[in-house]
Amino acid sequence: MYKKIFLLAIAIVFSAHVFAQNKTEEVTFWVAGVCGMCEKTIENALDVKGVVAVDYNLDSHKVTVVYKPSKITVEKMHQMINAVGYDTDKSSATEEQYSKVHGCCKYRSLENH
Amino acid sequence: MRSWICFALCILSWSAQSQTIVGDVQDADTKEPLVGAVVIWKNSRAGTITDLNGKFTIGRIPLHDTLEIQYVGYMTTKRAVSPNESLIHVALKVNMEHQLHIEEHQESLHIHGKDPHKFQTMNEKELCKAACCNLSESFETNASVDGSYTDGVTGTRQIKMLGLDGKYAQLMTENIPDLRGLSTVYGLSWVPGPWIKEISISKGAGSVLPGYESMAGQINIGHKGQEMKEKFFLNLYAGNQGRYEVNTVSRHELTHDVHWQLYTHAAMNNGAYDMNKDGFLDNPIGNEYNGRAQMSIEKENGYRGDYNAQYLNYASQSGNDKWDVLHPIQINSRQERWNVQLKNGWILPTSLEQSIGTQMSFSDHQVGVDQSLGRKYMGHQSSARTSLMHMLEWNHEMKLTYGLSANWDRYQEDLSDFQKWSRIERVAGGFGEFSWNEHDVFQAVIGARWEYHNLYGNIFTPRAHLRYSINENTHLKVMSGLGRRTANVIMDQPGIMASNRQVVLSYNNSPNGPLGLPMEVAWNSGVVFTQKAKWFYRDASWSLDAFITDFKQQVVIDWDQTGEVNVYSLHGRHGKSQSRTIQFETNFSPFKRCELRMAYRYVETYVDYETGRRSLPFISKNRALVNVAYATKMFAKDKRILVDVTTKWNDAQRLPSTADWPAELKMPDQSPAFWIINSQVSLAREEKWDIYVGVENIFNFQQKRVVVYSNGGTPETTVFDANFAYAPAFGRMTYLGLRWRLGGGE
Repeated sequence: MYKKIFLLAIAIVFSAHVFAQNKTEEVTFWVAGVCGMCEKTIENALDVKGVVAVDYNLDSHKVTVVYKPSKITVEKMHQMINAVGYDTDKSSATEEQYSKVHGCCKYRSLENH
Repeated sequence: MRSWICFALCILSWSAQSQTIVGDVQDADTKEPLVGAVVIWKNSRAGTITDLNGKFTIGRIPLHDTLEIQYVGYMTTKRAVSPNESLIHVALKVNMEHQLHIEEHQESLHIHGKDPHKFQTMNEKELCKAACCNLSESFETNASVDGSYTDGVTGTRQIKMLGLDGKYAQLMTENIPDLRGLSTVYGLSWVPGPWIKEISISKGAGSVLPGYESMAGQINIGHKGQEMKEKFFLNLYAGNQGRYEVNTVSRHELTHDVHWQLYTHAAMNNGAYDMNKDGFLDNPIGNEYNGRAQMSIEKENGYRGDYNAQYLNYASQSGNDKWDVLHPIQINSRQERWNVQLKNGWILPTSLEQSIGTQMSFSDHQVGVDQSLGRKYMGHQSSARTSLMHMLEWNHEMKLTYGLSANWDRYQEDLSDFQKWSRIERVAGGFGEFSWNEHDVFQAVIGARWEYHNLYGNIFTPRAHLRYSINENTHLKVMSGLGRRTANVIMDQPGIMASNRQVVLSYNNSPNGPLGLPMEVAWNSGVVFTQKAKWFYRDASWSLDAFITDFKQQVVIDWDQTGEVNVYSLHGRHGKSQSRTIQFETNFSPFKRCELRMAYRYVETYVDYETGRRSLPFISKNRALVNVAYATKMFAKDKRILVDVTTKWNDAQRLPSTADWPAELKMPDQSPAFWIINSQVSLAREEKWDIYVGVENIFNFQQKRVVVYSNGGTPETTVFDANFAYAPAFGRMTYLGLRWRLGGGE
């Protein structure tokens, strides 16, 4: 029993080691978020394979992404953020995409509630 | 109706003024455009941010005429916009004071590295992790507060902090001392979890401002208030132990500066189960009704008022599960309590930051317990408390709070086979706390209170907290302070009603104290080290703390004598009593959407009992906890599944001595060490609803013998004592619940 647990532990440590071998990179770029809900939407949009960690900072309007370049490109991330309706410093969301953002998140202009 | 007015106003404003405003935001000194500055209508959620050239376009909204412009590192600026204006320029000044804007934290358990008093704050998300019907059960995932197991008769789950009974922790609601005196032990079980926004836990003596009654720590309960996102919150719960609950919270707006909330709770325990087959019910049966109304007023002139009132009615029945024996054990208990709190605060319009606050609270609590063996207890507590406070702040570096407070308590108690006694406590005096924060690196908070107590004379209570921040993420805190309280022999130990042991008083020669007992006094000192870090690219923290509580005076409750509960003053015997704890805790996220908490706590206690030095009963020397919370990726647009598993390991606990009891009634000297695993799975739709299913004690660990009982045929020859619970008697418990939020988010 204990031997099995021990082997399992070794396997976990070893696999973590293998994962660590997979090189990660970090990128930071500007995204037009205005509230806590935007933060959630932006972070959720990047919750995909290849992205290890995402953190959107509402104060600086910057998102920091740790990712595996072998699995995802930075361009793709910009596109994914546009797809949920947010502009980035490289590309803008289309009107159709923008229409998806929630009322309190309408950063471009304002619609009466 | 409202939308009609809104619509009418829109039409009006359309015709009267330009619909959109165009502007730019720049640095006041360098004239450079500020990209991504937030431009928002004051007191609304409507806003926009500046583009790459520092320009913005914002539509007007009804009833708002002031824009607020925010940018990190700059001073937030307000700009009034007249009806005809359509183009505005804003220049922001760099914020020299470097005030950090701390936003709402997402973590469910926030570790306070910097706050000199606070240790951690559990928020709603954390409270949702446990079955958590009431707050005495909400510490399942917390390492600092231990929950004990109910004896099946009183039905309370008492808490322990720093290896000491919950009575040594000061309970507060909305920062006002509450649930004191006769309510101390039951108190937390009368706070329904779904009403709560957050619980702050301070270990050690804590701040001196709320009073002298904290010895092991402070627990402050914050109810949901006007900031609640949804307008109506409903919680339904059903557990296979036979408990059903309905909880609601609703938020109302009277005018734009007067808000009120209504809370209701109804619980029914009709599960007359005896899963461990010892002939006694595992949990008491009965009903609880609880209601609360809360109102807050916030005026433009700096006034803020918070008022609330609460009423509780609780009735329970416990004892033998069958009534066919001669002289069966039956215990009926009734409790009724109401309380009112009134808080006023004024921010004074002076250049120096200062405010004045007043607090008033009133409560009345009646208890009646009837035991079929002939013992009866009646208790009645009426309390009133008032305080006046003045707070001054210089440059955010120095802060002084001082004031006056007065407290009045009347207790009337009657234990049928013991005596009838009563007391009135009147305490009045002054207090002060000075905080000096040197560049946020070093902070000292020194406070004291001096009061005159009509029974115990002059009392002085000093406390000091020091914090040194080695860097932004590494904090060291050292604290020491005195705490004191008046013991309530019966209600501090409701287990007395779950036995027919005789209550025996000795060494009770304090001239004025109730029952001749002295005031309990303890020095508490501690060290806390907190390190925040980034592990696996995400926020992580670990902390190590050590505390010593040294009783200068204590009312010792000794359960080790056969057929008796001995109550005596520690000092009368020149004895010592101490508790020492060390705790390690770490919180981190090993991979996306997964949070892991691991904690280990060591505690060592000793008390000089009449018959020698022994450790406190029902304390596990070692205790470990692992909590894993995992959320799946969002699916079907806004749904997720959350899984939470908590594993707890409890070391052996000393049980009250039964060495001189007849062989067939003897209990072991120690409990076995045991594991408890709880888990919960919920399906949640963000901010709308969630359904949860959970299992507590998955591996069905059960204490077979909780009650020592031998039916002698008459009350005199019967031996009955239910005070041996160290583990769940019910075993595995499954539950199902729903949380539903209506009218959230806009």
